[in-house]
Amino acid sequence: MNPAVEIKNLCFGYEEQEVLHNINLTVNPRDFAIVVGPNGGGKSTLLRLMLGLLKPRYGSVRIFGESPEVSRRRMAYVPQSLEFDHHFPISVLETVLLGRLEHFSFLGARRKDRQVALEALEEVGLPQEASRPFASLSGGQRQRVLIAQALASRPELLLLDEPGANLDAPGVAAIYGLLKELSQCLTIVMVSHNLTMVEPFATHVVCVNHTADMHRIEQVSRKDLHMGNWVHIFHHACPVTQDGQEEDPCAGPHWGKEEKEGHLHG
Amino acid sequence: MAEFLWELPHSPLLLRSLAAMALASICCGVVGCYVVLKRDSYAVGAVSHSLLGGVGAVLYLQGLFPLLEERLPWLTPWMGGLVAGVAVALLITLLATRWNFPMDTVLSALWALGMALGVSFVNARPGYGTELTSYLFGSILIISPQDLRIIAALDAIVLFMAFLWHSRFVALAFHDELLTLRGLSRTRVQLAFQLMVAMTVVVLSQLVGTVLCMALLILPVAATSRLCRRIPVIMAVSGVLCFLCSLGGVGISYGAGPGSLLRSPGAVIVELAGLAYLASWLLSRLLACRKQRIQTSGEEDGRAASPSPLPNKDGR
Repeated sequence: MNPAVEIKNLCFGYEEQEVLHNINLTVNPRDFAIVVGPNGGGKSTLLRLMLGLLKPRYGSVRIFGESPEVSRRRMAYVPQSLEFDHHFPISVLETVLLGRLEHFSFLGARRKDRQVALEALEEVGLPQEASRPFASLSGGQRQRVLIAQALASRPELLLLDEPGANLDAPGVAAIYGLLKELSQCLTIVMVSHNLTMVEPFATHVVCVNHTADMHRIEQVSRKDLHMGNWVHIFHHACPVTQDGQEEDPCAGPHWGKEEKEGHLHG
Repeated sequence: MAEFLWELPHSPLLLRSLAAMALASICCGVVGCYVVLKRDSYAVGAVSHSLLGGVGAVLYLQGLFPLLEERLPWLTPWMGGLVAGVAVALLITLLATRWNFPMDTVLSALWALGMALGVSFVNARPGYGTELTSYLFGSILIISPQDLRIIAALDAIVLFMAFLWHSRFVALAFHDELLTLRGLSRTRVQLAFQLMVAMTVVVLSQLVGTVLCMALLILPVAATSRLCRRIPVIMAVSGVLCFLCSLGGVGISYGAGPGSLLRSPGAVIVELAGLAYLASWLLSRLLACRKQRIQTSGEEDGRAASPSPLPNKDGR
């Protein structure tokens, strides 16, 4: 079975500046990977590379063994927030239906698309809001509608960019509860700062700061998770190698960039 | 106005203008809605003004080869305009979407270049001089059967495209990255949108001219969208509004005597559309104020009904 996401030797930069350097990642089906790291570390860029919205300078991204362009309809993306015209006359249901845009419809949505969209709205707990204008919703509700839009396309891989960033505590709890259920049948890669909430059901943590390391969630100390302490996670967790076998956590200090390159090439 | 309505059933010319107005209003409502939602009225301006290049080219060719008009009766100046509009739609899509040229620069350049070419062609035309005025400001009262056929054909194509790809055009206006994310070609949808705009502009330009058609495409939709909240409703209502403005404009100008301010139908149509926009703005303000007043009076009533500082818990 092909891994859901397989990134090999990837480098990427905007203009002159390199943002991501020598990234190697494998996310297997049904994994729930949390992407953490400081601001400007390249977390969102990494998601956009997985989506094929950005092209790597060097290296490759494979989604289910194919290029992101080919696998696009097997994945769905929930942006951090949507910049849109606040007078745009679109209802909640119509917004969710845009998740099934690629299905041909003549004269309005097909009955099946409508049904799937309503189911997706039910999954995120907003079935009663279907006919309300999208712009009239609160920030948290909008975020849930965007998740419903992503779910309406029936994806196998769900990519989320800080879904809880603009929400209050109950909103975050609702979304993470939903993600917990979804993680039973989907592969999820999520950028998040809120590790406390996801720790019980996440399987991996990906630390991204110019480079990227992937750790099993068990290898990251609970204290660091709860403190949101990336530096500690970077330094103390043990890296998972490509074939999934952990290295000895006490094998030495965390690599600096040069050491890591040496390790990979040596 | 009464004069126009009285003569309407007896004059094939007036009936043709009426048919042209009805057909134009349909695609005005549909395409105008996409344009306003996408906030792309500047692209409409660029396409409509650059039509003059094609119009001028056909006029020039007809002046150069006088037999052309008999041999190729379908090659009307507006057909030249259509070719120019389609070419500009292609250019806008390629330059702005594919090659990342700054959109406003591309549009301004095409806008001015198209007009300049039109003026050069018409001035170079051998033989008798041609008035560009009817192309700039429209000639709604002299629609030929050939023109009407072209209008009907373009209308049908535009409506077919809208039925086929409605959700894609809405996505293009709402959040265009979604097209790419769902594995669709954004360039293709953008191109289809620009082509639809080009065809609509050719239809509207025959009524009110290349300079004023931007206003006729935008104003009815802008007026309607202040008061309606659903896309199909906005399309239908603004189509009707566009038809009423056209009819009113033609009717008013038809009865106006010499020296009157209201003699040119194209201008009166656009002025009426502008008035409609103003009226809808006032109406929406009025409705908002009323709603606010009802809300505040409701709150005051609530306070009056429960004088105690604690909230009223009778309902529980």
